[in-house]
Amino acid sequence: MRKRLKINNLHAFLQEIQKQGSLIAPVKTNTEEREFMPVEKISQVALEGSNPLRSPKEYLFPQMETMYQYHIQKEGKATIKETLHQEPQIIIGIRPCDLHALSYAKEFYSTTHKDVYILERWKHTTLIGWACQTPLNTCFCTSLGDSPVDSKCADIMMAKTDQFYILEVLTAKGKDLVETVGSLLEDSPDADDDIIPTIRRQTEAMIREKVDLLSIKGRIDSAYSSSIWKKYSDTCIACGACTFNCPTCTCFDTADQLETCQDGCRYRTWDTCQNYAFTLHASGHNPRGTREDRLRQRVMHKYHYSVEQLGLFSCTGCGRCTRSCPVNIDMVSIIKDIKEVVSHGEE
Amino acid sequence: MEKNKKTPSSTHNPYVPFFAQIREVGQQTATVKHFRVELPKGNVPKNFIPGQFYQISLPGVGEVPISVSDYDPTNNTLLFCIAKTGVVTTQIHTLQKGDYLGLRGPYGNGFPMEQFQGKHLVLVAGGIGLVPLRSVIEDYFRHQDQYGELEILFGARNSQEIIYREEMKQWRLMKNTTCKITIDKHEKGWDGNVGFVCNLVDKTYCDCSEVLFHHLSPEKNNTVILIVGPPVMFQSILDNLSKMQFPDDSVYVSLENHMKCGIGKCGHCNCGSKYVCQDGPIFSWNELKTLVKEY
Repeated sequence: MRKRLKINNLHAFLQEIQKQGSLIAPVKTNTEEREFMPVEKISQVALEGSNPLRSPKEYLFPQMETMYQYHIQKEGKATIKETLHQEPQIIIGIRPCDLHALSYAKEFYSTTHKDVYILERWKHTTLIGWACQTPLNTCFCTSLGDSPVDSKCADIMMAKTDQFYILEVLTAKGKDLVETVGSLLEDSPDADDDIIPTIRRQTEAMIREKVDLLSIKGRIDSAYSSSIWKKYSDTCIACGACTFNCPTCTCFDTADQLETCQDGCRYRTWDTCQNYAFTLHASGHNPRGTREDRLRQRVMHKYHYSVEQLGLFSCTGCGRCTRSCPVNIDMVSIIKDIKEVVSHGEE
Repeated sequence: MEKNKKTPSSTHNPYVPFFAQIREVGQQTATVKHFRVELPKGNVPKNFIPGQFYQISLPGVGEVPISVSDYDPTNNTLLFCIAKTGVVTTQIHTLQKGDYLGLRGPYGNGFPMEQFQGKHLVLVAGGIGLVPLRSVIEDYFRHQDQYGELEILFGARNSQEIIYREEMKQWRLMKNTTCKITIDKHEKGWDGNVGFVCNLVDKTYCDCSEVLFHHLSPEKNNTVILIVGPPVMFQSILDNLSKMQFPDDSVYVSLENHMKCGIGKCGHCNCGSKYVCQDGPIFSWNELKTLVKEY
């Protein structure tokens, strides 16, 4: 099902869908940056523009979240109250690279032991994608075989033309949402068929870099002993910005916090494999004791280990690692070097 | 959609612990204690396998992965042997009989005991590495008729750090069982073996080598070797076994990577495409060869 929404009706559309749950959208902040945030005023929503530096990942996998609260009784036994989040939320304005990332995260958190915190949030979340027309010079989604208009796990995929938006309704959840705003939408005629393919062609032409990683998918482990890790890690300061801003990074740490002698919670926070202590054994031994080891781990996990685990790259080419790196480590340069080493060996 | 609708989740939450009462506490060494805990009624671990571990937690303090020393199905109790190392284990050491521990598990793959039937078992342990192997030893004694002989080779830093002293006396009295101990350096009053346990295969370092050769030379194909200890220890043993052309599918190693969740999600124990907590912690030598050396 495909619908049209007049440009002038966007405000009313957002107002209507906000009635269905918490609305998360790219919002202009005081610094003129755009960030995915819960919308307070519809006028703050800024769907157009480059992808925000932080992905909407945190609305499914918060940077810090309470897993359960407890009340400690006699002899250390505790009663536990799970804190699952089941409030409905609608995230709008998600670029295809971030949809890809959410899709990967859902797959990762659903395998074997299910992560109920994320999956419960997912159940109550409606995702509205946004066909990308404004790639940055750090973007490289096409290198991974993706396109700037992929709808992946979106419930609705949205694209803008000069006169109107089109909304491709892709799931039952998307259909439910569209039904609540029915009067604002019109049917989309066959003439609209070419809108998304046209955006795709135009945006792909704007993407600066393309390194064909698909041709070496599954063979990237042959770069494990390469000198490229040292080349890039020499400047790395292990700040972890690349991992914290990465939409597919899933690692976390857990800790306890007491509010009184008897009441507290166990919570988790994002963690980074770029931190020395991430793999430090209780014995003092550290399997990834150098920055070179840790940079290789991050890159190899994105392009090879996750392929072995789930058949998927865990990089979406959003370029946030490059954008956020304070010492200008460029992921495109790394993957160019990887491609060279895997294809032709090291000089 | 209905705003703020709350429905109880029917999904099992693997992060939430249950509580088990401590039935016995014993001091093994100055820094190691054992705790026998009784699982709540109706909470019987499904198919417990020696080599598996539990996530032990103390509300308000934290959670740590601890190998199971023994599961006794007759009274539904688990035995843990815990070294005082960090914040959580230090706090656990203050607990007494009657106190409670939070538990999640059992996790990990464990040793493939069914593949060991009819074979001799050689267990090589360094320090606290004897803890997960004790669950193998207990399983061996419960089903001794199903296995060949048992050799236990244990290396401790010094005589003060030898765990399971009383148990070893009993093990030595059992039929078809040999138990040898070595300490790293000479010590006044110690008349046993001296040298690293990783040098067992090298006759010049330690008398224990004869034990290993006892089975390996004539019956290489009918012996499995289980090794638990730090990487520097098991790598050295694997190097020596390689020289002896010992079959790599008959050697098993337990990796002890840093873990937080125990269920392959937090990423801390990630080693190549494996999560040690979920795909391990037990890896055969031939599996280990395919892993990146980040353990």
